Amino acid sequence: MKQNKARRLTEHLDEKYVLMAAYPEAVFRKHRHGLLMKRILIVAACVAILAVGMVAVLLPALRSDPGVATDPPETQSPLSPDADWVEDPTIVKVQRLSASRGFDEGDGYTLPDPSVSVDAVRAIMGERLILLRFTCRDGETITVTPSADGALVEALQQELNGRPYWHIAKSNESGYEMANEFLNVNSKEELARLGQSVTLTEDTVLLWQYPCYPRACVQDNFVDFTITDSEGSIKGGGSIYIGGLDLTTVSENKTYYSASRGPSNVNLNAAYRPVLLGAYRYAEGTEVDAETHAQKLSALREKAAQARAHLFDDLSDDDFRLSYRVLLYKYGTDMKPGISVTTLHADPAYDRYAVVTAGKEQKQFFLYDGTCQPITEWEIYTADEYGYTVTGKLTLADGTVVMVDINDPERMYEIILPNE
Amino acid sequence: MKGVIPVTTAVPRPPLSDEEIIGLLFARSEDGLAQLQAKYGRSCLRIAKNVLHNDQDAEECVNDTYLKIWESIPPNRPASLLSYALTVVRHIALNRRERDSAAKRIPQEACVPLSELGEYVEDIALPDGEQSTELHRILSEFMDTLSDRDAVIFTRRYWYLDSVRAIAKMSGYTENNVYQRLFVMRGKLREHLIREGYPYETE
Repeated sequence: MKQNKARRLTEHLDEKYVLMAAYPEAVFRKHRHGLLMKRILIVAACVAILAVGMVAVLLPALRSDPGVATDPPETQSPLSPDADWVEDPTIVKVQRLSASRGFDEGDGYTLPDPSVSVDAVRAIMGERLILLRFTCRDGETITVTPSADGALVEALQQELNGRPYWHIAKSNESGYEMANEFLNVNSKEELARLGQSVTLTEDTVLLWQYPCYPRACVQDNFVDFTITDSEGSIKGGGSIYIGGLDLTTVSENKTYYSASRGPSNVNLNAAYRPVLLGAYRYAEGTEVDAETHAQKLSALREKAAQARAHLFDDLSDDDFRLSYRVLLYKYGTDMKPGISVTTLHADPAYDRYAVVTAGKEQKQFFLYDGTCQPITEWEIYTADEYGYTVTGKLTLADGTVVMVDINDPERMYEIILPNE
Repeated sequence: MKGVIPVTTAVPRPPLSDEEIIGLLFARSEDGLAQLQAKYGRSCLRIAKNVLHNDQDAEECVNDTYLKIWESIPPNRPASLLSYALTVVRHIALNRRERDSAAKRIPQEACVPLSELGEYVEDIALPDGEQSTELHRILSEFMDTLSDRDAVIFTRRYWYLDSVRAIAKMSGYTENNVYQRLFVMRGKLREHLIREGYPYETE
């Protein structure tokens, strides 16, 4: 009965609805298209959420995996600057104190020719002193700030013969007095007394002193500096890493000669290698407050710490086993190429100095300048109880015979090469 | 007469227009039926299957439809041959269903769409005879209140007698959504009929 009523009712349905329903696709096409788009959007949103989630999960893991995401560390080269830092090595540069020029007769010490370019940071290495030369535009002010780990930093400038530089041997013939004065600076208070700011011009030499004696010398030291203009506005800055590896070893069968301790079976090795981590200048017109600048330096330091472990990758095993560094260098234009200079003592009576370093075996000494000219023969004539005086003869790989006379009353080393 | 007209000839050429097919039928050309089968045969068969739920019965029903059309055109000249053919096949199928149901050959409740609609109009005194035009008007007014989508859903369910699943598939709605829409439309139709003055029937 009810079906009959329903049939009778529907039989009166207008023809237009029958025809419209005969082609339902035309009516539902838009709806189905909307459904399809909605589903696509939902799927896309899910995929996007999933992708973001995966990135959030995987990215920290990738970053923590040095083999995957960590760029190979750079050594002895400035780290990449941040976006708003403009590296300008022509303005701020730390150079090795080249030995291409040295002592000028009658004028005492002069600094190397500024035109001598050393692209990477090098330093003259001594037991506790590192000389760095900053090349800055005239009038620039550099503020040297001791790093947080307590490295004692001193920056001094002296004028001599119209050229600004730091003169180690101020008044003494040998310069020992002045050197010793600074060498005795072993506290921050003393550093503060000496001042922490110096106006740099071209060829300004900074003396960096380690608060080490002797073990502390293997500590990592970071030194930040800030470049300001004459009005005190921050224009740039940088960070220098000065550190070494603590390769202290004890050997029962070997005797190591130490300037500070004399003959010993304790190998106090410090493979110092100062590295300029970055010296940057802010882009022109950049307003930088002290806090922001400090953050930049901190970030730079952080990068440095990551690269620190690789600073010595290019050193050989023998380098790492250095137990005793004899500093012999020469002031003069006839300096043998590749021989570095690192002593605070120089006597114009001697025309040749070279840096030599002692290897783990007493007869395996090296000239040390990074290129290391081997010493093929080494013969010790005398050595006092404390190692303050050592005499001997060494033969370089090229056949040069070097007579060695180490006399270290001031804990300095010199190897004297007789005049030829 | 049943089965006299052969209508199994395949027609490879594109289907003719309704007017052309009607013209062939007026010319008493059997090709007119072949063209009708090619163009609307599947639609007719679908309705027949929806009603009878039996392929063989549906095929026979469709053949009866072609015969009915052959007999009725001329003199009739429908504006829409599709609508005309579907109306004929629906009528024949439902009649056959009623006959088979009376003979206990199929269960009475087999036609679900008409049953569910009938529940909403069962107690309403629908006009018949000369008042059928009035029923057509009232029903059209109701259909005009529906959206195109709902109108199609309503028509597919209660005229084409499609299953809810089939409607959901063609519309993109879920079956539950189709059920819900049909439920609402049935209620609205009932209210509309009552509002138009068709009183409840009393036993």
